[in-house]
Amino acid sequence: MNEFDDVIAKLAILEPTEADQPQPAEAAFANLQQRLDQPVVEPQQIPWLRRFTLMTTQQKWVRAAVGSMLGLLIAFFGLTSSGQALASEFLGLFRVQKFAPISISPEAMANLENMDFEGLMPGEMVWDEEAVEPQPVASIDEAISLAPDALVFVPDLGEPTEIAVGGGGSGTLTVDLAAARAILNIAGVDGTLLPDDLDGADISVATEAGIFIQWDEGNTTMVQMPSPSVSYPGNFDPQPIGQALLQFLGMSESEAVRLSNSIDWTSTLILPVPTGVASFQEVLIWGNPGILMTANDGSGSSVIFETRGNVIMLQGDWSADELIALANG
Amino acid sequence: MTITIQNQLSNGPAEDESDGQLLSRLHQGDNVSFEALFHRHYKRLYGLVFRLVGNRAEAEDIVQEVFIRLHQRPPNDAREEHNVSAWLYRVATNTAYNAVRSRNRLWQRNQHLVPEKIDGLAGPEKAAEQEEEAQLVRAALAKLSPMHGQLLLLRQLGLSYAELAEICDVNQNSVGKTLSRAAEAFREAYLRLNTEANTEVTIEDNAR
Repeated sequence: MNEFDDVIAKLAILEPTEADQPQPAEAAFANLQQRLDQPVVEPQQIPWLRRFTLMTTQQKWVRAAVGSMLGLLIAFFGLTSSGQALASEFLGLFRVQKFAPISISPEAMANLENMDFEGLMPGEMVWDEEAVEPQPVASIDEAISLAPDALVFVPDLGEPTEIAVGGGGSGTLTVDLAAARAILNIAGVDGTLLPDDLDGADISVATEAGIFIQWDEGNTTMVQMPSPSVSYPGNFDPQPIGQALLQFLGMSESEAVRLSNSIDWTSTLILPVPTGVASFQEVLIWGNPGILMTANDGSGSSVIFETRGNVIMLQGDWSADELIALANG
Repeated sequence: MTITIQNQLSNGPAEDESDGQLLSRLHQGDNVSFEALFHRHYKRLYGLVFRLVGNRAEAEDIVQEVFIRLHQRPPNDAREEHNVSAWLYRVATNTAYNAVRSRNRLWQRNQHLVPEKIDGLAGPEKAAEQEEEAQLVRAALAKLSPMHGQLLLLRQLGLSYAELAEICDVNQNSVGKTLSRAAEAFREAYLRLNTEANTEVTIEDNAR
């Protein structure tokens, strides 16, 4: 028996036994039909800007942070690392300081969503600590006690209707170059943009718990959290990876090359904004550059900025000027 | 003599239609074509997923999840329209891999809660050994890229190179080479995990 046959023989132990046979297809389909008949809440019913804000409280935020930094790798992975690993094994470090919004087509947005939908990952992600869904707390003081570094300011909007603390997690993605390239190829992007030495590389991301507050006035939502950090092997050249990410998001090759060369990939978070859904512009908040996004359907505005090492996002049914004034405290 | 390729759908108007044609009709909201796709792929998908997760209820649940995704958001990429099976197997493999890895993490985290084996009361030894070996094989598979794991399992399921090329979306001429690489990666992972497991047992024995 050669080595290949030996492997196939080993796999035979996984075959279902008599007791493991599935229910008959007809019964399985009836169960499936029952599940399909249950009413579902369409995520599209949530205005895009609100969805974006809520996303920042979830694990996707971690992935977005990573992605932004390491392009392709980025959006697809989430990551991780412990402090010791950070000190001893990694030389590169990403922290959010700036934002770069880019318009992406509905097709590219669908690529992003499908990736999540199909469970595609560019490697194996191991979480040292998984981000938790936001949990409600009774007061801002309690929120601060659970996430002491998260809150920089609280806008004067009266008594909040909801306060929650969540997120915070760390993990490491070990890149599987073949899988990462396959993801790019599915989107019609040349997978060989990713350098060979990426294979097996460990990329880590760490986020701390954030605070989520909601008010009735202006249907306002705010998220504040310490900037996520991403550490990666110091010999990484983020430019080609960033280029791959931008092309994955629908940019032409020439545009992606130009932009990826001008972006500081050690501190810039990419914000994908679906074309026709929202417009965006750069604004100054607390003296730092931020991005204001205004929904085209009039469902409100959203601003995201960084200050004192924290990322802050504020969203509500406000005009652009009102929201900027609110964000400036 | 005419050879008819039978699929698992015993009757109904969709029997002779290709996956691509069924998908086109599914896009138009035709539930009969959805049911046809389900019957055509259910058993084999279950076989693949079961080998990865090793649990009937979980495997059935994952296969249902795959078809729910197909129903809610059928692939509409022009290339995928002609290769629904590639989409189905990819989603099934990814979902099963995610489930296994998530379970492994949970297990690692709660390992201290598992009672130690008491010598002499371990039940039928052979069954326990087999289960241990199956867990080792699954753990080794989980170390591979989903594509490599999928290729090996589908080959073990008896699929031809042509079928593997279609389902795994690889060139038929390179299936053999990719399979060899996958097998080598599996062997390495298996040997490493086996060594680690034996080392742990020795340390535990010495500690007693």
